[in-house]
Amino acid sequence: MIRLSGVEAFEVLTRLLAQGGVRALEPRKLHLGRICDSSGWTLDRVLWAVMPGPASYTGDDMVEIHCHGGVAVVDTLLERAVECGARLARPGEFTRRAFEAGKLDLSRAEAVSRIIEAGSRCEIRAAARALEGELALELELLRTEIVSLQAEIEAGIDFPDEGLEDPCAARCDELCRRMRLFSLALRRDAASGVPEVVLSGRVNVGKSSLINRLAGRQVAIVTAEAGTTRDAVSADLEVEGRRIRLVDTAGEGDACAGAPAREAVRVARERIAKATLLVRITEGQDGDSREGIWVVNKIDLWTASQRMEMGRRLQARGALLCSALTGEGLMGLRAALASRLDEELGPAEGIPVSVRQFGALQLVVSGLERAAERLREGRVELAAEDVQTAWDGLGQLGGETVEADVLDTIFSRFCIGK
Amino acid sequence: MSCNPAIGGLGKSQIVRELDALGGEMARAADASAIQFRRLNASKGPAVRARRVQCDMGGYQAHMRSAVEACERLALLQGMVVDIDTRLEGGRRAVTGLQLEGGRRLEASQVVLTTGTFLRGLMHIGLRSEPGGRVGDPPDVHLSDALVGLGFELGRLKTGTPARLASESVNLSGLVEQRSDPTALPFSHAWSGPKGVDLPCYLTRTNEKTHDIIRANLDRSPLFSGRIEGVGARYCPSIEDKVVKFPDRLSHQVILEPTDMSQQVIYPNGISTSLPEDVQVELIRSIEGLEEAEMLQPGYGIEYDFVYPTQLRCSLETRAVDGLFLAGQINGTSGYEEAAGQGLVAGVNAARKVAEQAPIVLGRQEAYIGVMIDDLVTRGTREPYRMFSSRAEFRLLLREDNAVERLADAARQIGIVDAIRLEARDAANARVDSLVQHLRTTLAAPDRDGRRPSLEILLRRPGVRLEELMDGMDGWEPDLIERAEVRIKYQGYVDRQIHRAERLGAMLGMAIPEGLVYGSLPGLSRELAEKLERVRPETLGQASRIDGMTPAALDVLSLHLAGHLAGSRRGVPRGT
Repeated sequence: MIRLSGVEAFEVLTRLLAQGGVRALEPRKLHLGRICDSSGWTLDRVLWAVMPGPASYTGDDMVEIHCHGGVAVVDTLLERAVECGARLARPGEFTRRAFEAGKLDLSRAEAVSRIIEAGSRCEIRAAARALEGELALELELLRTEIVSLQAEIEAGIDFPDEGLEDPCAARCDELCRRMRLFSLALRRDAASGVPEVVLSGRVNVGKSSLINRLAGRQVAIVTAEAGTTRDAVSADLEVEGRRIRLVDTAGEGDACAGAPAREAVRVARERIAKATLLVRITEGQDGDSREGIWVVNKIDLWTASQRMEMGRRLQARGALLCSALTGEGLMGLRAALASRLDEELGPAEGIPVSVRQFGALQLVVSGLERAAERLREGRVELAAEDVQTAWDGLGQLGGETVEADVLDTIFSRFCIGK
Repeated sequence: MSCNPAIGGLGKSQIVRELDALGGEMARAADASAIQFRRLNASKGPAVRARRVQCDMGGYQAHMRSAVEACERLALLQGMVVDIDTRLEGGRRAVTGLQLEGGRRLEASQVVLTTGTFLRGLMHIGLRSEPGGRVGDPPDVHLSDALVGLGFELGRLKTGTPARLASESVNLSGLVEQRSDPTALPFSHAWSGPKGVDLPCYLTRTNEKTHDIIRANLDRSPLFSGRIEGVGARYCPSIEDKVVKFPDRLSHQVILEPTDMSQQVIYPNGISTSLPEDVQVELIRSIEGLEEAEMLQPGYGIEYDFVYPTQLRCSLETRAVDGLFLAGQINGTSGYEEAAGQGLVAGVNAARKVAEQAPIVLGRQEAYIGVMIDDLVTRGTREPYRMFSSRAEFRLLLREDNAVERLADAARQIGIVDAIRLEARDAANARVDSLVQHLRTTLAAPDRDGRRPSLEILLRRPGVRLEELMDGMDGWEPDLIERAEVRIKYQGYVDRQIHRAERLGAMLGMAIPEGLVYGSLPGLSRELAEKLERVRPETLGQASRIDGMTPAALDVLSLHLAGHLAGSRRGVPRGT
């Protein structure tokens, strides 16, 4: 069973069900319905019921969907629900909401708090595991360095008679450099687990041929007719040790008009927006490599002189030349995919961290960068704010908040006072 | 003034400005008796600049005395308090009055105790110790027992002061002179201009010979022989502490400060000590300029009792005894400014309690006084607590220049500052607002590329001053110009801090019911439950600052509090 709770629960349900599936939201009655994917294909036949708040378990509007068993079915439906605007509940969240709405008595809160505690413990443990060994040591060193930087700044501010010098910006720069090195050893895992590489381009440039060629099997139907691919088609494959998901989308400028084509374009845009990496495919000069990898396909049709002149020119502009038909240039494409993903996500063999943790690291780096700039301007009190931001980021990275005892550090390092 | 008569310093000077904004007397007393005005961190940003003045000791005291005596309906009585009378009513203990030495009794429904360093005060000079609150005054030996009897937990702290020297015996000729800063401003918002007095300080230094003398006599130091048990402040070490803890420093600075207009006594700032008298004379005479110094009074260390401040509410009333307020060193602080800040809050709240008004509690984002009291009642202290600007997480908001702005509401509520002055402040605030608005909307002359940025954008650049940007600023008061300038220069950072303060305020401002039994809350570790029982935080925010508090425990607390709320407003939609 899948449960939805919240102000938009009914709207999400309406989007999930096949057109005309919701005639009336009669409370607490089981209805038969079909849940479809974005292009209208049935994913599962289900029984569903709605329970309007506040007379529901959580006190919010709630929906229950009884689907067929099996992990795959449930996963697919959950994924679809998320596409329709829901988000996955945190551990214990339904009970927590119920408690907050006054639906549960205090004795039940015990269960909730245990779950919550377990949740954060898990997170801390997971974070600790992810950052073990040498990296943990490096993190600890960085932590000490940042506290000592803070102590120097604060001592200079709070004890103006002691003739202390403000720390120089170069120390911030050095810390920044080390943080960046540190970040090079981390691998961000995409929210969905597998990074998505989305192929885009005009109709009939050969996106489907390319995905079939790269996957080594027929994933997408290929015809000579423009606009064969409507739905997003995907294939998982391994590129130099990293599992990725290649996604083929409907081409731009579809010759066929009408609702299905419009819908296909909308789906394509969505996937492109969520992509970890974009591969733009063209047949000629109308492309660039600013937003991802630029592939010029169908070079098997080129003449020798075209290869000499146009080929060189396009390569100079960053294009990869290949032929999905003959397989020429695909090695280079694979290598480019691997190195771009390394850039985007960190090395495949790196220590895995969550997107949230990586965000925290960015916070540390940007905090230190700003601090260095402020120190160069001589605005120490603002530098102090930025170092504090960096410190907070470091705490989030390790999954715990450690309070920096700056005063302790000041008094142990400087002889201060009248 | 038992130590050197200086008012101000980082964090402290902001407290003095806050006191002035709220109607306290300290700023005026300091300005009126100042013999040297200094500005600290003048080259740094406005949030960390500070004033400090040296005062004429007698002048300061005289000003304060006449200010107190001028209060209508205020009776002044002198006597030694020996006991606190209380009664039990409905399970709660409340103050009813005080017993004085000699059998006299004072009736009172509210009492503010400000005992300074007098509670079981014990003065140490070398291995000799004698009871005393400060030189020339006996200690209070009864009140500690009375407080213990009422169930309070007491601790012991230590502080110290250097010897006093006769001016005519000191040779100042070769020493560096330190005078007032010409740019230094007075403390008080209502001050009409600095007095003409400017007495210099002189700088000298200890040397290796001084340090040898100290090291040779450590066996006669009460600090290092274990005679002193009280905890001293790390920011105010004695010279023997400095020499022992930082052996690689071959010299420490000593500032020779005047203590009054007559300039007969010199306070050698930097060599606080509790070594024996003969050692003090020897070490002082090893210092340049002091070779023939005459010691008028030896330095000494002093130990005294304090009440662990986690036993107080944010109003500074004790939790155990209704109507009993504590302020100053009895709460574990050190410093005149810290004491004055608490004195105002405790006094105001005692008076408000009589009038059956809710207590005034200043927030951490509102005032250094708020930071201090929250630190004390939430985290307690193990050493004499002194204010530092780094204790304030909203430091950029808590500036000297905007004290009247941020405390306008509190000042109005308290009602010490009269309506005329409040109106004048409002008018000044409005002028600052309009100046800021003008800077935002006025475009500068075109630059080389033909662009015309607003004056605000130009002013944000580091090093650019308002006077350089605008003509016709002559009529403006320097402090209003500064306020406008600071507001613009700090805009981005201040916005971030305000945003953070507001977010925390919304999240953590949730009140915790007074009688909450933490032991019964599921999911709280026993250790944390005990800490919460001890501190009894008044808000979720205060709870979050308790040592060792975990996010999970805060979740449990907030859940519990939300449950309380949900019971009373069922059906109201709540977001998560």
